[in-house]
Amino acid sequence: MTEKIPLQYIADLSCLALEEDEKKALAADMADIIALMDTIKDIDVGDAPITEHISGVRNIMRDDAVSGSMAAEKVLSNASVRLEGCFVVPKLME
Amino acid sequence: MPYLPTIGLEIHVELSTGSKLFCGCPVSFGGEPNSRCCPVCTSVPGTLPVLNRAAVQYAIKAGLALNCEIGLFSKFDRKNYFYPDLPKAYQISQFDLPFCLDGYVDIELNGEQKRIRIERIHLEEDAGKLVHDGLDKYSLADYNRCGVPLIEIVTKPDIASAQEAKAFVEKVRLCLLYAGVSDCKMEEGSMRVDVNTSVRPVGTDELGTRTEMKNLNSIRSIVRCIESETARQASVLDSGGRVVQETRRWDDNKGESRAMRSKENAHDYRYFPEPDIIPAEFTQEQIEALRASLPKMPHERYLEYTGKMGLPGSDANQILESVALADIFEDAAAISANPRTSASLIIVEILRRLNDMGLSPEQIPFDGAALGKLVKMMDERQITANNAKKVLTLMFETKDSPDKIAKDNGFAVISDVAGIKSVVSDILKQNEKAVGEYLAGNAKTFGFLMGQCVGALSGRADPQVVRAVLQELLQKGQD
Ligand SMILES: [Zn+2]
Repeated sequence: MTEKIPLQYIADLSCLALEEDEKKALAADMADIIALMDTIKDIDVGDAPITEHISGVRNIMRDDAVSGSMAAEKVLSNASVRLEGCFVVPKLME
Repeated sequence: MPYLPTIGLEIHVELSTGSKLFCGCPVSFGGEPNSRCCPVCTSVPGTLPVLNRAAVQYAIKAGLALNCEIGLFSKFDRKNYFYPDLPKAYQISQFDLPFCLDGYVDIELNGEQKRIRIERIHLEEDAGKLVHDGLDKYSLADYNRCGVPLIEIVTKPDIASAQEAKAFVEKVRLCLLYAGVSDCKMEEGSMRVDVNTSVRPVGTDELGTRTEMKNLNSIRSIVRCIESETARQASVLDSGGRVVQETRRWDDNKGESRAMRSKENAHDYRYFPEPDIIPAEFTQEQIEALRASLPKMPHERYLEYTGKMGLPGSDANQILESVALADIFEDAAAISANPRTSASLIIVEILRRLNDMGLSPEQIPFDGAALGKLVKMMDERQITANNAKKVLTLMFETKDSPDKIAKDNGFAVISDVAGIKSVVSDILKQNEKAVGEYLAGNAKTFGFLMGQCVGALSGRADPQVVRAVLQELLQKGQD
């Protein structure tokens, strides 16, 4: 099962750098999760319609009203590094 | 070998709602970085986004303005990508059930009409802005734009030249302006275009490999980029190479593009249904109500202007450039029953004044009814064309009606002969010497006296009438 999981590909998509032992552990975890999900295949869903949202609710929307923002100082309090009122992030030029 | 390009566009348009798509932060341009953010749009864990009803209505209106079918059931999907302009590491977008499908826009080029099909329009949240300049290993992230409602208009690959792309983008922009869903300011980034281009040898049908050029923010750069990319792909093929499917970045200063370093799997977004946003469902009646709320689209207005109103096509287009001008024109034409003079005052006089004052048409301080009144005054010979221009200038400065301005400034035409006679006889009294010379047989002096009269009446009287009165009074003097 483990070898079927394209773990490196998924790690690349997620921008995660994984050590070999982490990869092994994660691959085993994912194999378990997928095996569990596979039990769904045994259920006869018959003509049940496709579920687009689990809540069954529709049209929960808000009016277009401005309720204000946080102070920039507070927004930036989560930044590990900041400069000129901005979050400083590693440069990722495509 | 000659090649033909095949072009498809993705047009991103920011909607002019008051608040963002999923939170109550304001939508505006400029300002301090990170000053329009809250826990929802900066993706603090545990927050719950709630859909802005107006944004949904705007997206549907955009679809109706561009002749789309509107889906009665729509939902949102999560588009996963990891880039620091998006603090959630996913964008809430629409994948398989967007609001609008299968639209089209008819463009006209060199007198020929062509239909460009629109595949879909979906609603999504905009990402933040990264500033790369001046820093070596770092970028600066400003999340003010995060969560601003954005529609993405995706065309079929129906566009066959840079000029067709230009005509299409201009038409879409105008339709969205009239629909009132966006200010479509390309220079402020509220309308941005991705261009997909491939080329094929003339006479073949097979589509070549396409490249994608991201985030073009002017019509000029769209045209230049398509021309440059068509030539680049042709020269690659001519030299025996093959075009690589890639994303390229257009450098408008250099007038050339270069490949962006991108991973092969950059387009694998692992979409899945967005659990945080509840699906939207509409009845056909609700859609029809939105359709009925749309104002007349520019192409309909064009047909009216050039048809029964009798404007030349170029004048109609110039007025239609701006919703504000078109509205003023239509009101003025209705009140004055003179579309041609209304149009020429707008195109020649109003546009020049706006240009001189650095104002946009939305800032014109009077309405179409006032302009219509002025045109009517001209038509009824209550004011001369020359003085009408002076009144127009004052309409920009005061908030008074044109008739009050004309009255206050003595621009009103003196239509009764008695009024003109009294002015002319005053002139003759002040110029006894000239009158004497004329009576002594110097016919040239008539011109001088006529000039004095016209000057004193400063365009308030018909020169023909003034001449007749002057002749009559001089005749009396001779007797
Ligand atoms: Zn917010």
